[in-house]
Amino acid sequence: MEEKNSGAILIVDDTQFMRHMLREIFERNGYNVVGEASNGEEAIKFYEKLLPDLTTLDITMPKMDGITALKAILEINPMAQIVIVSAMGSQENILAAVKAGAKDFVVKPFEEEKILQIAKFLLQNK
Amino acid sequence: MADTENTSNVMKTFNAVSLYVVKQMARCKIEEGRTYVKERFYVSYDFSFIIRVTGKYTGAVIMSLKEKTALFLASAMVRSQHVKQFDKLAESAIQELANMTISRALLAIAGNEPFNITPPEFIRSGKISLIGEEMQKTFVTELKTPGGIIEFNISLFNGPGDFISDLETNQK
Repeated sequence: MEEKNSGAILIVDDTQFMRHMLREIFERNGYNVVGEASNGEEAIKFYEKLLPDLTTLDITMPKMDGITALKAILEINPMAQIVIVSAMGSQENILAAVKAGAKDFVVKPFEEEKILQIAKFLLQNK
Repeated sequence: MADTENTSNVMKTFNAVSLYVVKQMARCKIEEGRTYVKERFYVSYDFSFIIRVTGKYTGAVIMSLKEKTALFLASAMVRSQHVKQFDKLAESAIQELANMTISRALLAIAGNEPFNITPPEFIRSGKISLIGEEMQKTFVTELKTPGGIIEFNISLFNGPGDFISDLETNQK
């Protein structure tokens, strides 16, 4: 019997298309997308309000970038599970993200299977 | 002065990475088109997505395409629905395409040298001016899609890490 996926996910990306694509991937695979944010400031506000099990976070966003938002969210909840999803997959950015507390880093464009594997692993181990 | 062919290693890298990204997102047959130098800056098509770059390479990279090409690509990317008009979701899809393609290509070219980019700015109409007379020489690479051509214009400041010199040094 296939294990049912569960978990509340917050998606943070400045482009509507990426939020749409990630929502579709997660919902098609049984996850519950509880919110979407379009910049780092919204990400922090929505995180506090929704307390998701998993947050996906872009880096290059207006108003506040993803790494700054990541650090702020981890101050709210040091156990927060955050995955960076960004095209800016330089060694410098990956190291900065991991050092700041991100659980993983997915470089865009990505295969659907990759993001689902990471979500499954993190949400099973929450 | 006429536009000239350019086959530098840097442009080959840009071509290879942009081809990979667009193929991955559009899931259709994409081929390399021309690679050349424009002696003065201009975009060839009505829709432009501008990413400004600072760091080792400073300037702007502009992805330019026709509306029908943008609609074709947006439909291919938003797989759950056929995109009939260039609405906000379609604009967002092509913005993300520009972001991913140009970011990944610049990352491959810059190596470990740090750089920063802006989110893509969409301009409809083809009338774009870039700051500084020095930003005239533009390196161009094209991709051919079933819906039309995508043109990448790499337009440059004579700033730190002179991209033009690097390209001209690497030219065949």
